[in-house]
Amino acid sequence: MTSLARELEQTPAQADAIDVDLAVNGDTQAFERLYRRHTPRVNSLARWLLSRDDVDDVLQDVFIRVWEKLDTFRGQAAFGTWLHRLATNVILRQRERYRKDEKRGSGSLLEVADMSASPVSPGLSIDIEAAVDRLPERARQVFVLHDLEGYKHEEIAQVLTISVGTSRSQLHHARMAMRSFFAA
Amino acid sequence: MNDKWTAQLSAYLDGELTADKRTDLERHVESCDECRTALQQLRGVVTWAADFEGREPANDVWPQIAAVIGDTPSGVVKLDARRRSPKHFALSIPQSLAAAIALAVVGAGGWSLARLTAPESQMAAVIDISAPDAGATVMATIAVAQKYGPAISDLERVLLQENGTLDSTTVRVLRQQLAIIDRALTEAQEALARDPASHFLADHYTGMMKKKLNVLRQAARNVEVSS
Ligand SMILES: [Zn+2]
Repeated sequence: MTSLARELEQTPAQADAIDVDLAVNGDTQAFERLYRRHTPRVNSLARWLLSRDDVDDVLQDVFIRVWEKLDTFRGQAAFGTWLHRLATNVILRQRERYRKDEKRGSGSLLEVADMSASPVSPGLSIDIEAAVDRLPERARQVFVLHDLEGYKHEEIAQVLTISVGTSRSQLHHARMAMRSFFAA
Repeated sequence: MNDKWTAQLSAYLDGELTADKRTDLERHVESCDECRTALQQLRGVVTWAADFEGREPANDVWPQIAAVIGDTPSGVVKLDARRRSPKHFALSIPQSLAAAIALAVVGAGGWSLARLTAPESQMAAVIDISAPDAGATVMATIAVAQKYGPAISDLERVLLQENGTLDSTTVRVLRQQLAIIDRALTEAQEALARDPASHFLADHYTGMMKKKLNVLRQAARNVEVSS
């Protein structure tokens, strides 16, 4: 980070707190700033949990729901955490709707391990993201919920209706498939 | 590699092993290169995931969201609708106030600042000004916007462009800082709408415009130094 960035630093959490306060009072511009700050992550979440590239509808649903429920956010957790939980709930509820017309096939753990052993552009997140894309659906969902969203295995077991043991082993397989992206 | 220990590495990283198993595994990892390598790589995966900031969606769906939640991107923002407390402002002022400001004089009784628009946003605001001394402060405010506006627009365009010279962290921080200043500008503008004759508010507005320009200039200097 440059010295300028340090000098101007205001944490995203601080910016969120200000904008939530404004948005609760009807300031749609403040809400747009929240949308801009959090869309990338919600987009990746939706894309990976739903196995789809086109997630426009889901993003709209999520943020309209956030707008509607904003006054129930009491600052008990970071806004980002609250929003991602809400987003994940909305996304997981959409799974049934999309299950019938899967747009993007899943890959295999071997395929992902192969990608990670010979990345196209070493060290770039885009390669790693592509590998997450290609994880088998179950492993990808567990990995995203656990390692990106901080869900516990017990919670994952409940929302995906799998056993806790399955959640643990799927997580391990997903991580092992992706590990060669990272230096020892 | 496929020894019985490998399967425990994830659980170990997540702190889910019992004390006994943890000690056993640590002892093994000390003597097993393969497990040590795997453990460090797995740690890399976990760290990457925790820090992952996401990727922008292919399509920006904000216009659709705005339409649903009642944003009025091309309309007139009602002053009273959102004035719930003095702290919260009501006017929607574009990010860069600079670009196009048209002043319409209506009638003999007062001024009406009819349209305040900038190219990147088609927000419009109507300010009804009837206080006797209003004309002078409004004119002063507009003069300030005209004086600083072009330089601010240019700097914003250059500094915040995609793949520009500033690193992404700096751009992010800069955007946040500008957002705060824009908010203050908006607040000043709204307060002026309620109290058009206030020299204090006009000065405050001028100060924020100068601050914005200074922040951008500082960023520009930073580019020169680092490149
Ligand atoms: Zn070993």
